[in-house]
Amino acid sequence: MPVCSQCGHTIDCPNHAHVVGSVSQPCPLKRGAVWLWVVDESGGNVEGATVTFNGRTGTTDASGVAAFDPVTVQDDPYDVAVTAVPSTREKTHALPTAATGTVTAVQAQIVTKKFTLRTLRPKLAVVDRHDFKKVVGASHKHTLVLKNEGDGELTLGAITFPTHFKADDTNAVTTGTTIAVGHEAELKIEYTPGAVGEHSGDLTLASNDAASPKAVALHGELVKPAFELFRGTGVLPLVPFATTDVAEHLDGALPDTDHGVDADTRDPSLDAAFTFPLKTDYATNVHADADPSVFRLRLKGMPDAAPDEVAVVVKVLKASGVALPGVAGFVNAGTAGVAAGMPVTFKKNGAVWESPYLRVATTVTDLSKGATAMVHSSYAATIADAANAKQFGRVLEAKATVMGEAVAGEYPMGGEPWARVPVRFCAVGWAGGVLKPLAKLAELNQYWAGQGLEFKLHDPLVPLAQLVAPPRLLLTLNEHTGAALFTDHDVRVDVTVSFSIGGGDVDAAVTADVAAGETASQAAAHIKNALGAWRGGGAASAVRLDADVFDFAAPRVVLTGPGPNPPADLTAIGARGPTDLTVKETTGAAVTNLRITRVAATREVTTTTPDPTGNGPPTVTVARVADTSVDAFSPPVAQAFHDPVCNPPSAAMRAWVRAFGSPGRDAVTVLISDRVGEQALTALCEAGLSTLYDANVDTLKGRMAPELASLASSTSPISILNFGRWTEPQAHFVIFLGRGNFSAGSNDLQHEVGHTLVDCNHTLREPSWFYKYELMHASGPPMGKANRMTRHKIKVDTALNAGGWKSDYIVLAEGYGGAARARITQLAPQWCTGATDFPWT
Amino acid sequence: MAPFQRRVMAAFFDRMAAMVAQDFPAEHRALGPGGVRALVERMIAWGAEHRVVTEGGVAVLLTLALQYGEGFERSPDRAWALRELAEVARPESARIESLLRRMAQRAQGRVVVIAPEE
Repeated sequence: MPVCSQCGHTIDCPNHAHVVGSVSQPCPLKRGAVWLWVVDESGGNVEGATVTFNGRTGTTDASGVAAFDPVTVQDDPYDVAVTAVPSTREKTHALPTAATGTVTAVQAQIVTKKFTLRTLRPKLAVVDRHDFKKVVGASHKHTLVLKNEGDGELTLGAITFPTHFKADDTNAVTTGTTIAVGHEAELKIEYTPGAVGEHSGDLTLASNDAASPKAVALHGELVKPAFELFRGTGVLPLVPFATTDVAEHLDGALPDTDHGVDADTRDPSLDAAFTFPLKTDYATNVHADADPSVFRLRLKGMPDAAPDEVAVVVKVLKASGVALPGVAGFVNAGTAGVAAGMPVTFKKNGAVWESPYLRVATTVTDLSKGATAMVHSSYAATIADAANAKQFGRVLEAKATVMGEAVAGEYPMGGEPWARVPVRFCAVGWAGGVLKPLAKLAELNQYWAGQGLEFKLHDPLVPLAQLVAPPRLLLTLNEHTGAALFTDHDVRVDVTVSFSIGGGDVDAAVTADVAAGETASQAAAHIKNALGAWRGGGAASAVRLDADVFDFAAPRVVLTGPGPNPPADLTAIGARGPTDLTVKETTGAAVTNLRITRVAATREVTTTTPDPTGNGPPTVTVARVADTSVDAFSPPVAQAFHDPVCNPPSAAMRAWVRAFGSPGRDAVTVLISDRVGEQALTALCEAGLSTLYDANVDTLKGRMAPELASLASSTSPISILNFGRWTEPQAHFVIFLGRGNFSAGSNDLQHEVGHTLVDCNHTLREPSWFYKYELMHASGPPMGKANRMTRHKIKVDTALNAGGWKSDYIVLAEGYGGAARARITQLAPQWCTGATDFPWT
Repeated sequence: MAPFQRRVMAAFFDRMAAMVAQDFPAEHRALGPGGVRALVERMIAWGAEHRVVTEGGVAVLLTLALQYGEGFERSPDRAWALRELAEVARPESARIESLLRRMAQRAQGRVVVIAPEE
């Protein structure tokens, strides 16, 4: 039942019972009232706000109203104010801008004063962009400062990173983080580029900021520093040796043909010297190629924060593919100079970091003064050191650490040789002792590197092969006489070829009749036919014999004096070359130990004996007797040097070459013999099967007296045999050396290689010229110790005197470094048995 | 039935006009007889929209409209009141009683006016 709030009387409906309630009836006493109504900006009522009315304090109720009822109605207005926001809204709302006012009370009215609280607004401020710039490494961190520049508390929402960026593991600012007004928070971010290149994207920050979400642009670039070899204004061309004119390349690349940099303008203080504590006495060539005697390295792709100076270590890493510091027997391994390399400081120049001028030079103690060196040659007899001695295929290594990032570069220096020459070292008649073929190979490389040649073992696993004498398979005809005809009368030649088959020995004796006036080649053909017609029995019934006949058109020996060492009685020797018959491997059955075991010539002699009685007819007797007038010879091959006077195209040497020469013509064979000279001759003379022509040992010795005298006084006879002009498959270069000539420091082998290349048969009147050479530079500083390549004198050429006899060698001046260098420019096509397919390139 | 209904409606309008004239004389003067009748008609229609159809219910709406404005816009309880009216599934009597107790008692028959902005 409604009740008057003023007087307390019950109010009844005058017409009918109260049903749903009724309005309050007018109270004659109702007075004025004042409501202070507090709302927020959305119109919602604010409970708990503190207000004042005429000095009285009140608090708004759930309706946002603080009622002052009744109030005295008066003419003067009342002062009203909202003085505090509810504690629950302190962080989100503030007092209105006009928090005070006046209200005039009116009788029978509720005058309402409405206050609207101001909503507090957070504002997220952050740098609009962060750039990690150019960096190296997998991870880079940065702290972004988030600041609340508004007047309300900031609460972060979702934080979204672009690809390659994420929150740092130590980051504590996440979704839900609040930032008080005027305060900051640190968002720790991490850049994980992963791949080289630029990465960018927006970091998105959601919050209760009205402007949410906020995007922050992130950017970074992962760079990869790398070395670059350069010289002058361009990258140095690394020119394969001798494939083109190296000089032209250098001239085109360099302002000066000498060191690549004009000596007048280059700052010597920029040179980085690499003093090398070498012990060996060997200098080696490094200028055989477009080897940059002066060059520079630079680092590109550097991070922005790289220091202005970067420490780099430069050293020669490999030579001919072999790692230098790590190989056994490397003489200077462990020394600072080799193992640690050369420290060099690269300085910033714009966007790149450049080295000083560098030199790569192999040198020796006396050459290293003021020079640079990075690799040397060793002299120890190990395979590794033989590799060290190689002058080509060096790899220059540069290493640095740039802001924790390892940077390395490798650069081939010195180019590749023009030709790699395989060498087989073969010990003959081995009597023990020490031979160092690898050391000799190293010398050979040191010696010839300047010409762009590199020598290597034909079979690296067998640096020294031990050989036994080849069997007698060679039968020479007219080897010594050189006559055009084999005989001026009928001759029967008996040849016995022996072999083993099925556990038994077989002697195949054949007979060939040679008619008067036939040539040696015709005689050889008869013998060949007789061999082919031979038929054996039993196990040998399937064996077929055969032979090859070689008839050399060129004169065997034509030597005319004067000369330093011409044989004395060569006029007695004919001018016709020899004919060889070589027994071939059998066909039809497996045969071993094939060899010629007997050569004999007989002629028919008719003897007429008068009848003793004088009455009868004379007695005519026909008999075959030994005929020593023909020159048919199966050489003793126990020693190669059976006949020095006919050296080199002697039968024995041909036997050796055919036995041990390289069938593939892919190597130079070096035969090292324990027994040379007189010993060999003695062995020849004592052999049972000597030449028919010189069957008498005393005759043979007498004819060779001058040579024997020479040999007796020498312990180092050296022979070189070239079969280069022959058209047989085994023909190749075979060098005969006495063991004493094979010792370290002896340049005999190097010398003979020169003959191999140059004057392959200097006993001939017109030697074949196997190469041409040229000086590539004649300008620049004069040759001297500072720029020479080698300390060896390279005797590579021969000079003929007026008589056509070799009188001396042309000596290429030592040292073709720097401004002057020489190289082989051409090999004659026929230098290797006339083959057109050059096998050494 | 129609003449009867007209008499009933006329009587209702007369009672409401008398109530306004007595309890809200200032508003009665401002509205005039026609304005009061129109106001009553609007309250009848508003009430019908919210299933308030009894004379008593409409009388309460009319009274509250005079006190707080036709949309209760001068009432802090406006949002609540509108929600209350909108709950048409509840009986009219319960909703009118609720409005009456919270709003009418609060005003105690007085008109609520909003003080002008200063």
